[in-house]
Amino acid sequence: MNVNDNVNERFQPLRNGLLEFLVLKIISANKVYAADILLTLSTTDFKTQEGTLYPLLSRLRRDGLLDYEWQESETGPPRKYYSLTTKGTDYLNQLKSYWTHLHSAVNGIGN
Amino acid sequence: MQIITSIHLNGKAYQLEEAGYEALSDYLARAEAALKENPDRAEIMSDLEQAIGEKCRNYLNANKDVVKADEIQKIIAEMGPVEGAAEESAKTEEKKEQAHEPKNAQKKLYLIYEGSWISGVCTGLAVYFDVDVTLVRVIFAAGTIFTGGLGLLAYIALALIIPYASTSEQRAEAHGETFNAQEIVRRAKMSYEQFANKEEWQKVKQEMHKAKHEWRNEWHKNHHHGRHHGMPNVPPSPVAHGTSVFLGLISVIIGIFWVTALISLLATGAIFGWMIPGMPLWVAVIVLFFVFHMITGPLRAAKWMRYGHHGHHYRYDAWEAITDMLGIAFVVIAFIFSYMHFPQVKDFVDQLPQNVMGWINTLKN
Repeated sequence: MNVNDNVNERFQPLRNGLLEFLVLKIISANKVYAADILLTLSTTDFKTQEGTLYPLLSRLRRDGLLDYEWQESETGPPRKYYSLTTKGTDYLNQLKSYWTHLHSAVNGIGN
Repeated sequence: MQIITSIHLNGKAYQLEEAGYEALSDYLARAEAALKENPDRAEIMSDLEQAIGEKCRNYLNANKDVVKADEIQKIIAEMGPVEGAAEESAKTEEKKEQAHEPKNAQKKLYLIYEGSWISGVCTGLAVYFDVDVTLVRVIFAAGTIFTGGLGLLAYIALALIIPYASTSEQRAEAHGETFNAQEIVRRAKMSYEQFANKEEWQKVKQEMHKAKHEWRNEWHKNHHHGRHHGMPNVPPSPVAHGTSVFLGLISVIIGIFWVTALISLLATGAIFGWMIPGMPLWVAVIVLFFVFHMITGPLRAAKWMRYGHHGHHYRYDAWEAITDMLGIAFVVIAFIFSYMHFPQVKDFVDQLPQNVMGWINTLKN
């Protein structure tokens, strides 16, 4: 087994856990619809698929972190454009500061 | 040439090659199953359909209006497996699905000897349609009387056609339930909880259990003593098999005898030309019923005994006791009702002591 693959696999649970954080980050930057989120993630290590994203979006909405509105599109039926609620923004800020904390903790250990 | 199937995805129609259609409906069915517990299932499903629709449109243009099967395969691969509860991995979800699946297993119609009177047709039907066995018996009896024997013919036909649930798995199938150790334990627990707190029931059950046990042992001992020179109490399986074949044969012979006797009684008013003295026809029918039931009693006990060796002892006892009690209650109620409302019944019962004396005198002479 390639060491690279092995590292990749080791961090799979971590990436799964971070997906929610990243989706909230993407939505906070722009009003987006699901395909935009997938496109943004597709070039990163966090590439994911509709089968994972839609249930996640629906849960975040149920938790009151984001909301959507319907917008007409030029090419097809109306699309759901997502945006963060106030609660979602607060939650994202907590996640961001915890991530900074976690990042420095990881880097600080063993140095 | 390819067969084209047209489908709706979130309200818009698309034309797919048949193989693609099958793959897609399979994917959507799996998605729906994975989202079974999700309160937003409908919404997620329509989101998914819309996403698939958009992907389909990428493969269509002015000169191409059908999505090919391999294109559908690519779309499904792009979509990825649908995860149920967002945190749970698709794998555990799949496992859960598999565990749930057999529970919805189709019920199958089998003859069921447990608690049966003749051949297990009524008990089998009762379990299949999830109604009380007494009701099925009454329907058959009424059907036989009102259709001039047609119900009886139907009964015989069913007895010959329906297979007998000979393995534990098949018996479980008859109830539409999974057969595994867990399920048996669960059911035993459930029936125990149901009955354990009813003191009176507990007492009745114990007594019946004791009585039957003693009786079974007694019969078992005598039976095997006669035929197998003092077999041990639990017969080895080849012998058990022989016994079962023997019992089955006897049941069939008695059953046929009983049915022909009933037919001859209904048709000619006499059993094989033997007039029953001092009895109206309907009493003779009831007596015939009881005689049959008493003759087959030992046979049924022997069948029960064999089931005893197969396990689920407990559930069986409770079930059978209820059935028997319902049967007795039905007979008693029918008797009281007819005594009150039919003059000839009242007359007959009132004159019964005299008639009995009459019969005894006839026999003596």
